[in-house]
Amino acid sequence: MTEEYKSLNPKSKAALYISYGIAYAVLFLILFAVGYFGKEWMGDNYRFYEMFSLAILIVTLAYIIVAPLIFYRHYKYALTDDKIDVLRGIIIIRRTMVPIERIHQVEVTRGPINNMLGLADVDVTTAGGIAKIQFLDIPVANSIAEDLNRYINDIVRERKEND
Amino acid sequence: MTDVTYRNHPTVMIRNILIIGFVMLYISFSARGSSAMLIGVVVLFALLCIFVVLFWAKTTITFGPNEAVVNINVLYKRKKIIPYKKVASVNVVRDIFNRIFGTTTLNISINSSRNAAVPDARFVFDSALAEQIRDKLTSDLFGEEPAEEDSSPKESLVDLSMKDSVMHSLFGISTYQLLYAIGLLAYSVFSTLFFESSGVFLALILLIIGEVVPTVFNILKYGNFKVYRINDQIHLQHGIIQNYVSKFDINRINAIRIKRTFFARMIGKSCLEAEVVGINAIANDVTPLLCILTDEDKIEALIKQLVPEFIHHPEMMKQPKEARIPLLVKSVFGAMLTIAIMAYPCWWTYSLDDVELSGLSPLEALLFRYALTVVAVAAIAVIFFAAHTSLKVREFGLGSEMFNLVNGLVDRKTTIIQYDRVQITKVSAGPMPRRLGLAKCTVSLLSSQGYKNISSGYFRKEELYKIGEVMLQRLKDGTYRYEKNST
Repeated sequence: MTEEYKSLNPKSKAALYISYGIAYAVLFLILFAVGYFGKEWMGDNYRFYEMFSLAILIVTLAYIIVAPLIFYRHYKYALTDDKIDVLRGIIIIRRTMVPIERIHQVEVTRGPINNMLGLADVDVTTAGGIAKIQFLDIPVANSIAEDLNRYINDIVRERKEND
Repeated sequence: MTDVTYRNHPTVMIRNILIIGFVMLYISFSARGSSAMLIGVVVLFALLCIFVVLFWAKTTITFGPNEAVVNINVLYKRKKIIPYKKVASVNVVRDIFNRIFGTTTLNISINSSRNAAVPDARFVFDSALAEQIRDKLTSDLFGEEPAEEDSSPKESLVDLSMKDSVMHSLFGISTYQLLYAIGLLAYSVFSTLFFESSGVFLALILLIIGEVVPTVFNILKYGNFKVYRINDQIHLQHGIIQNYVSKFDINRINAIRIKRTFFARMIGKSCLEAEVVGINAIANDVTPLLCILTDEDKIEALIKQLVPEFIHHPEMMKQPKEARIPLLVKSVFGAMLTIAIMAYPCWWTYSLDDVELSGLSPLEALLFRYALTVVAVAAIAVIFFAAHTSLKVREFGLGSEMFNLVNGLVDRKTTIIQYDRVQITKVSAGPMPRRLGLAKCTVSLLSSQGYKNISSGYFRKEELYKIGEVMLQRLKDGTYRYEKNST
């Protein structure tokens, strides 16, 4: 397995833009619906609600435009013989480290957006929770999952022999 | 162990039918004479009774040489295999029904992150049979000799009195919870003395349901607390009305925690908890208490005798001075958020004129006008005080087999964690800590709740990375023993 950090496929930015776009549309609809149906109830406060909603929409839009670019720039992952190492984050950068020995299960998952763009996530389950390597090309994800499964099986086989 | 198959004790049917009967009776009363509803309730009751009998008849547990097999074959078929190798604990519980019928509930739990919060097998047996099965299982699993006379009194490693269980029930709970109770009590007294408010009744009800009843329950639960160790088995016994008995292997402990609530610190007391996998069976104690609140020196002595494997006194690091900056920035954001949320309500209550407050007494009007502002100012003060205290409180210490984390602004917790039990490490830093070379670390452990995350304060990034590095090093050099730590 490789030692150095790898970056994501640039298509990950598109995946994020699409998912953020959907979330933004939902947020817009909620704010609009609350304003439309609650206008009378809010009375004089409706103006305040409008300003508040507009501020939220502007700040969120700014975040949505910038976030995928930063996410892509920060996201790095490395697989070595003994660990999975993932660096990710937009404002807060997290470095997640999972020893391969602790892995119970490896799964390749594809949501509709990822599927559309030919991307997949690798979900790594340990007894202490799940770690993810996101937005990988499907062949890369499958190859990582196969490698990890092989490693896990080797570990189990070795232990059985020792027993 | 040769293949032996058992069913639940027949009294389980009586208990379940009684419980269903009570529920049906309640629904019948709610029906208020509707005959169609009553017929429906009777039919449903009859069907559920048939189901209870069928469930009893078709649910078995077979203890084989290497595994226990639970078979359920009623509306659905289910076969659950519990390999003895994976069993974390075999516990017995005697609730009121068990005591009435002379039975015991046997809970078998395995190490499983997916299903760690409930026992993997729960069967009710005649008390003598349950003890016999438990002794046989634990002797096979953990190499412990069955107790010849289980009823013989066992000496606890720590002397605890009724006073300790009362103190634990009062001061062992979270300080926030205790302050909430004190607040409710103060409100009730204040309102009774100065106002004719209907809120007193509600406050008293909340106080009784939320605080008094749980406190009494805890006194009854943790009375007669005993803890002892036989070989590698930790034994816990407590309870005044219901007897809680549990045992688990020392190797199942992922971490231990010395907990000192604010009031406990004031009187020099602490309690000892353990992160154990598969200890769920004793009445939802997902983080079992190894010792209730007692004197600090007694806890120290107990650790030496009960869990000497966890004696660990590394050189503890305080958060570096630079950590003050991100803490302060966070406080400023917190204060700004508080102002943003509270400014309008504070202004609104302040600007109410005397006509709008005409229904209230002068004292009530005064309180109504300024209470929110006082709360907002207090909240901001608490945010800054918390940041200031955090700098002094949070500590971190690395050793070769374990590491320690000290957390808790009000209720202090010192957690001693084995590297070999850490599943995932996450080191994270926002823009400001990154500039200062600081980060926070979160480690994930398997616990009875599924998994548990424990976080550090701001420390040097390189120091926090060492947790993961030591973990990997122990795997590489063979110090890590999978037989001992395998989940």
